[in-house]
Amino acid sequence: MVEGQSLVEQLLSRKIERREFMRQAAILGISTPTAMAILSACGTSNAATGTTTVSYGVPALAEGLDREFYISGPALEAEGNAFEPITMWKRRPFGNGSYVPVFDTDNWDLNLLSDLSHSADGKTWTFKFKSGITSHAGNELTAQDYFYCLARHEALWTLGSFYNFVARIPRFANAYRVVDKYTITVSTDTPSPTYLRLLENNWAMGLFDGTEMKKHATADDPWSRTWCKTQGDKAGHGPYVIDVYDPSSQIVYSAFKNYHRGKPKVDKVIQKLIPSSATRSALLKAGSIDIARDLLPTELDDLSTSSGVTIDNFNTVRSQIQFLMFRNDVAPFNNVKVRQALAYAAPYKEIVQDVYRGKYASEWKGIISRDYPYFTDANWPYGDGDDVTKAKSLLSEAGYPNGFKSTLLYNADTPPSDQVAIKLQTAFDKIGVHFDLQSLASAAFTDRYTGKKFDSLLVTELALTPDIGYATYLWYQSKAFVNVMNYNSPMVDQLSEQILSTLDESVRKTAGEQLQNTVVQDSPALFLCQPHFVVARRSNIKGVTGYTSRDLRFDDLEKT
Amino acid sequence: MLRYAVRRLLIIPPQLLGISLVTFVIIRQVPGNPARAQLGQFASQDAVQRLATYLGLNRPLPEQFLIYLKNLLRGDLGQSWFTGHSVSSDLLVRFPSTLELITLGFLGSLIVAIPLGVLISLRGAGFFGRIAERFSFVYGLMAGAIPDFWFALILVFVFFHLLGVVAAPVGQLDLAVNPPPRITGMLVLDSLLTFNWVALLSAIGHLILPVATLVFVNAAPVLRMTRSSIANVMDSDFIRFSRANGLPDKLIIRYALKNALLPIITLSGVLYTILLSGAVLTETIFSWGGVGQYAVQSVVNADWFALQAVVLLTASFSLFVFLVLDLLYAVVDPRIKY
Repeated sequence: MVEGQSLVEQLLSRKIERREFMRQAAILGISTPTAMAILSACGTSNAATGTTTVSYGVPALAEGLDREFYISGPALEAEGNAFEPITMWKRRPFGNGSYVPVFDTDNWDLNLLSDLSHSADGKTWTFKFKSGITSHAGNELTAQDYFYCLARHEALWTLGSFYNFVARIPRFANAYRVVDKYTITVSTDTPSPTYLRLLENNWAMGLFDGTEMKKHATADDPWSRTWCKTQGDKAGHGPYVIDVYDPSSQIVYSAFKNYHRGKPKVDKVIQKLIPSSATRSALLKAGSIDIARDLLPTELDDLSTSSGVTIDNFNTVRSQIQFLMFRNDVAPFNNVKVRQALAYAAPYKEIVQDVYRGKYASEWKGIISRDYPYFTDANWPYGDGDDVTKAKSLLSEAGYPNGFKSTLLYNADTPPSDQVAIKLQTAFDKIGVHFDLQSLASAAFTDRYTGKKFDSLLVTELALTPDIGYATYLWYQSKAFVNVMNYNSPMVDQLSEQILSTLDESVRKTAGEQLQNTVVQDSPALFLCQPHFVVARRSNIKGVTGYTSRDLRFDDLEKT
Repeated sequence: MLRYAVRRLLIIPPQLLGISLVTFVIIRQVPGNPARAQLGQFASQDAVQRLATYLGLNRPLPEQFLIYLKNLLRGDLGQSWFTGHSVSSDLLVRFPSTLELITLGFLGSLIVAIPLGVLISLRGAGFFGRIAERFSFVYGLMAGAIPDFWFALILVFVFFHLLGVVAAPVGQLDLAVNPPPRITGMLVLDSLLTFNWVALLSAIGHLILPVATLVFVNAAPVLRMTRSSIANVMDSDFIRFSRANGLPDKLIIRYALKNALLPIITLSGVLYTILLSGAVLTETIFSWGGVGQYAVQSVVNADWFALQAVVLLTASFSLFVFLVLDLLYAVVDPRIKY
């Protein structure tokens, strides 16, 4: 072999013949993989020195970066790091270096605002943005950016329509007006306490850099949907920019050095798609990844005894709720006694103890999250469930002394829904009600769920914003399009309207408690439990926060 | 033979047209609407309808198919609503990864199974032959019964978690290793071609466990076929005549192997085509990011164009492999003439 030249170079410069090249390449080909396979166990890296990198294993990645169209859990996480909410909850320590938010709008972080006020009648809000905040594209944040976002909501009227509706911002009514470079006013139909709290919700009211967005508009796509789907982070003001976006493999985030709150401590986050929870668990244990989420309760239990691993089990900010929903307008579930019978028979304790190991979920006994303001379980009549006698008596009164048969749908892609479904089936068999279990893939499940094509359906949901008006509107107001149960109570509608349209918190509390008591009695669904947000991490990772959106904000993290 | 090959190649497009029509119709009968899947439950029915119109889902089915076909003839496989990229660019990234994995698994299966099958089926193989026979019996039972994803998890548990002698199952490369410049899309080959030894080391290390999984599961049927095929040939008259004439064993084995090859080639070819879709569970365990995972993701998310393209790709691959198989028959067996 000629010194200083590779085999290929020698061949190209005709210093060796083809036959000799193939001979040497064959020897190299056989021996090199063997040697390298042995050496590969050592694992080498060409990572840049001096950068802090956190690797994070997830079961799914964001399917898009446009808040108007993508609201899955993974999308919320990507958007939550690329974009900046207008306001933020303050945090308090939870333990082990983790934090939880504090739901107090009198003492929260105005974040992008230097001032926020409303008119005496509560129907006009004035936002004054801070100066000097730049986007990832380098443009300064101004009131025009918020104007652009509200106009985009109105024009596209997709996911934004839901938030604008519940915030009481009327459509096409010149409801928002730019006063000066940093000031904008927004008018609502009624005083809107929910609008105030939605400002913290990055997906409801988060901002785009309007200047950058407009650069990518076309005649066919005036709101830059195509560009925003895969590159929308460039129009964000959040702590991270996305370097690599491949929703089938990984997303790589780099810290935004001009982030208005200061450059984040973690320089790079690699969010890797690892579909198998067993693999994520093994990788975390071995230290190959720093954070893993969406692990099964059995895996979490196993990890909790592993050295170097900490489990953050956020049992004080429980936003997620698990229901068994019924079609309230279809027999036999249109009979309140049938629904109450099932509520008495449901195995609430068993679901929490057996499926969630007694630790990774809480009993609910309510209709909104236990940790949200004005939650009450004072009038929960169903006790701990498993009351076969009471359930059978109610079924007889309803005209079903021998029970009945029905179908229970659940999402095959959200474990441990299958285990919960089996628990329910077993419990209801004791009172003569038999549910045939039917598991569906995500897309098919969503189709049946939103299309109201079910008799009963097991679903896990969450209300992002910790507000009594928002949480009670979602599934219980008859007009709400998320009310797939077709639950219709004039009393609940009236109370919901009252809660959504007054700034008087004492009125909201009273009406909220009354609404909750009414819905609990009507039992349009079974309120099974509240699965916790649980994150498993290496112990040298600090700062994980249990937000209601159940995602990580990477600027909270530090790696010691 | 050339005319035969050309004839077969000319039949492929109408076959693919039929497959794409059937796939197109069937996919749209399965519950799941891409517009609703994309927007989730917080979008009104109006919003879903608007998005469906934007995606062209509200047009009549024949019109949708004609548009699809017209685009297909231009090489446009459509847009994945999930990844946001064209399906062709998605597959160009993913297919080489899967091809690398299944090809190595396939070759590994042949390298293990054929010599072992030859050894076992030869009479008078002695002590080692008997050991090999016992091994193949137990191995055949196990490989047929053990699911590939379970075996993959066991390998991860033993070799990664307990012994720590293999790379982490985080995909094709270590998380901190930058991939080499893309030439073929197969990381081992691209690393070699660009002399990126760090990436090469990492790529080979990450191939060990998934290839071992595929070899374990897929070598068994090849072993059984090799063994029975050679055993049948060894009982034939011409072999007996060869022995009677005192030909050396090595020559006899060569004659026997050549005559036993046809069923082995058939099975191997079929196995190779099955591997393309069958590797999905292995890809999932090892976070491979190949076509298998892409297919599963398409089904779960009602990503119709992606799913159609995966079916077309699998069908094309199978048809091409079967053509090569048929041509190989003619090479191996001079009695076969096209």
